[in-house]
Amino acid sequence: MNVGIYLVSNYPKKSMFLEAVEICNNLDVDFLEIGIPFSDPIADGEILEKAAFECLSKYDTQDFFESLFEAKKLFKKRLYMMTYANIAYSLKDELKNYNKILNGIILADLPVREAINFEKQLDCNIIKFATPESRKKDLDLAFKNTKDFIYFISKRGITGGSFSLESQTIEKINYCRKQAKVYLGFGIRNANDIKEASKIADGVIIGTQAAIEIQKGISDFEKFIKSITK
Amino acid sequence: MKLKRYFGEFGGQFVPETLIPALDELEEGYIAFKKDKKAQKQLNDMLKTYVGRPTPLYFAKNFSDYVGAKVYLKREDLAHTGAHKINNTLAQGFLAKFMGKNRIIAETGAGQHGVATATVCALLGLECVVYMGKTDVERQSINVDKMKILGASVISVEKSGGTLKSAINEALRDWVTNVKTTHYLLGSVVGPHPFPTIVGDFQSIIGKEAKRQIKQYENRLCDVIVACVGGGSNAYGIFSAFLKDNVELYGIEAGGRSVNLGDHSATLSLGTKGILHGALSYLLQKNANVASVHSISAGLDYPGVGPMHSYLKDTKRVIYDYVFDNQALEGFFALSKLEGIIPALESSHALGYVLANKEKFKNKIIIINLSGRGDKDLDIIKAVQQ
Repeated sequence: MNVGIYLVSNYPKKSMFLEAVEICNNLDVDFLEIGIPFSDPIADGEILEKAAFECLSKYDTQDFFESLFEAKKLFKKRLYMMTYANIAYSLKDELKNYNKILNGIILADLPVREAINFEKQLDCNIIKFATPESRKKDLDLAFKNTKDFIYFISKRGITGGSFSLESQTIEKINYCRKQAKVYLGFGIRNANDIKEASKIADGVIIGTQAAIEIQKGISDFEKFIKSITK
Repeated sequence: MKLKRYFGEFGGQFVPETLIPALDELEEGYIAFKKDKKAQKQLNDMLKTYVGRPTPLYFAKNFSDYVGAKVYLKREDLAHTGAHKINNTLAQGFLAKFMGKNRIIAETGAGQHGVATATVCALLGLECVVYMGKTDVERQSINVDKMKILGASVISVEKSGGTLKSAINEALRDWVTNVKTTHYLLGSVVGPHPFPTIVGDFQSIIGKEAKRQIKQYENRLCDVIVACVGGGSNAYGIFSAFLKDNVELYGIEAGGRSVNLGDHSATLSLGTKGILHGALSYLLQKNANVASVHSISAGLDYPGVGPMHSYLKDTKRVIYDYVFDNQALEGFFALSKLEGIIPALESSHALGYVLANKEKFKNKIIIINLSGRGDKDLDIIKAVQQ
């Protein structure tokens, strides 16, 4: 089971963010997803949106990108960047400098059908999504273009909330797993959710809860990471 | 898929994956709806008897004398609910019913699209939730009251500026959560495909009527058409019938207080290419984040624009320009005093542009799309006068 943590770049401030990266490395988190804040994060719930706005009031986009390099020095395993399509589109030339340190890019508002063109423009690996709404043809298009894992969004809606899967969704996850590795995201908060997810998926991504913990303080964050990686 | 997803390089579907099946379903539903003769007859009958179409093309003699040109007004302000927005909401309301969706969500800036949506939901017995930025709720309170009387829930959105952009963000979040039961009744030619195409088609009735009417009055086409552009639905509605004709088309954006970023909403005139709310188009942005914008008119106060306008700009078929708040106000007062017609502040930008360019338009035959009436703006006008 792969456990991935989503950290908003420089949240709540740069020093704490880098400490959190180091903790994730020391406690053997399998991969990190680092979020570049965007002004209109339509796929995010209140907590991650608030985190993004807070960071945008303190830092600019260049600072968030630079922190990716610093994070890479502290974290030895896989590193992904997560943001929105406009950031990647508008900064596509700069983004090319980061390709060598990133295993892939996750763009919350980039569906598979648009990702295929985008990948060529950006010359990078873009992670493909599947959702409870996906039809067979959507899933097939996703595998066909996947080099890494499929990011399966566990529920309809935005980030945050609680974890549960409809039976039809489980069927779709099983179908995906025949073709590619499947990581689950959205609503996964604790060791118990991970245990449930491990029965049907290859990995999980924890975002909102990680933001809640780091906001409390670095020792709470460390305790939390211990609780989910033990 | 049968419709084109892009206008040149602009458009597309930049939304969370969850919405893709719903967008496909909407596209298929729309194609079937257009082919269904009974549904089309029902819609056309209602456009006549409920909306009051065709709206008149009015020769504004006093305003013409003042400008030194021959100015006609396409009177969308006379459509039911006081703006062109109802053309789209009535058609999308019927489309939602046709597709079996009983819950409608919408965003609104000035409140005109919200009122037009609430109206159609009352008529068709659909549940209606309207998202509106907090700033707009305050500056367009009459429309908020109207929506509530019509049975809609109005949700005030405080986050990220509290204007039209924030309202669309929240509507998209609602849609991605309730996609099974809900139709998102988008109010302009913005958003992911197929919305720009669908809304553009439902508004194209403006241009088709205007073309017939001007031929009747002048035995020829006009020289010039001027329309205001926020998202761009009234402008595309009137332009679309004339794209292949020898008619100069002007789309007028909100220059706001100044040309400094943050002071205006002149996306096509002053923006760069980017992605917002599902489409690649011109965008007002700073460091790849969406910039804050300003306009005296809530309906134009938006950092993005419909993708077909970006295409029409780059192919040079339409000239996009802007006027400042005070020039729009000049248009507002001139039409009120000369013609006894109080225009919406949005439409006043088109009027203000013609006033500011009298020399260029001298002796020409001009149609100005009077996209809405100005009752809703009286609080803003009073505040300006003080």
